[in-house]
Amino acid sequence: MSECEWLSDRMPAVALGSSDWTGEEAAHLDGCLSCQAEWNLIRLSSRLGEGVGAELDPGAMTRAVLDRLGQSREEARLRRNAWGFAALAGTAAAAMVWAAQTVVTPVAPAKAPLVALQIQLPELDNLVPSELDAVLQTMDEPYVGGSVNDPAVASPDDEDLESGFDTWEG
Amino acid sequence: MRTYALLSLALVLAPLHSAAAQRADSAGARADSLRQHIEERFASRVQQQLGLTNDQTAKLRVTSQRFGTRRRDLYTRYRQLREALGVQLRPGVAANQDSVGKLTDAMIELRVASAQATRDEMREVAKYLTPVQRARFFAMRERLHHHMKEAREHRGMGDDRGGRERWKAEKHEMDDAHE
Repeated sequence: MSECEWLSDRMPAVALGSSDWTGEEAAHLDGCLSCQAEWNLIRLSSRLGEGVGAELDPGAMTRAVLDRLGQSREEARLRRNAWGFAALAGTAAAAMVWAAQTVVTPVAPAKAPLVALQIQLPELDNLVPSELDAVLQTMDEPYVGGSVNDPAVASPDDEDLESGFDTWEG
Repeated sequence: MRTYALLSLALVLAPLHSAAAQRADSAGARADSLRQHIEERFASRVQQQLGLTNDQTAKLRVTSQRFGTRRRDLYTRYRQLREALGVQLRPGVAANQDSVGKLTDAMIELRVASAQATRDEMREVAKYLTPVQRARFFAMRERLHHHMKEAREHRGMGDDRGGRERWKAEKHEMDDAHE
């Protein structure tokens, strides 16, 4: 093992303070540039993180951690409450929909409003009230039958055919 | 003295004239109401017995309005011609041959126009009613015309002189109401 290798193995112990350089080792370190560069690197590395812990205030750190934990617990509680409320509202809404369906289901679907038919009958203009009254009375009689077998449909007689002209007679 | 007599006569006749006018208004209003009743009931029967859909009802309504107006114009024209012809053919008065000829031609033309209107209407109705629905509609209207004819015949029958006189009075009141 060369002197440089020996010195390299000893550097961590000296850097951590658990050992000191011997006279020979110190003399070699003074005269060897390679060992000096390595020693500087080891020494700097061993000092990394020094003072970090000293700057921390344990009490403040504890309070901050506890506060953060408390805040997290509060947030978790609020989240749980919110979800609970949402679930409750959802259940209520579902219940209302179900109840509404239960009530609405038996009711027949709404039909489109029936369009009222209007038929103008100018033939009536020339009739006096007593004649109009007589016509109104006869309208209560059964009209056309339910099928084409009805004589008025199947075989209109001469009177029916002529009645269009009859209306001209005042 | 003469002035007093005229004034007295006016005072006596004024209430009578007022009563006659009221009767005329009443007869006209009653006739209008009855016509409306008949039209509504007939329309309701048609809609029910033909089993019209809303679409068919809406279309028949439009057709009825258009041809109703056309037929009403024809009837109005017919009544005018009939009255004019009546004036020409009054017994004991010499008729104007030329006028009578023209009036008669006009009445015949009017009948043709009426038949044409019915044909046009039935053609239009055929576009949205089934043949059976159209036949029923036509038959129902013919039946109504038949009832109208019967009502007029009942009035015109000679065996009921009182009925004819009543008709004349009603007719006169309605004419007054329309004037």
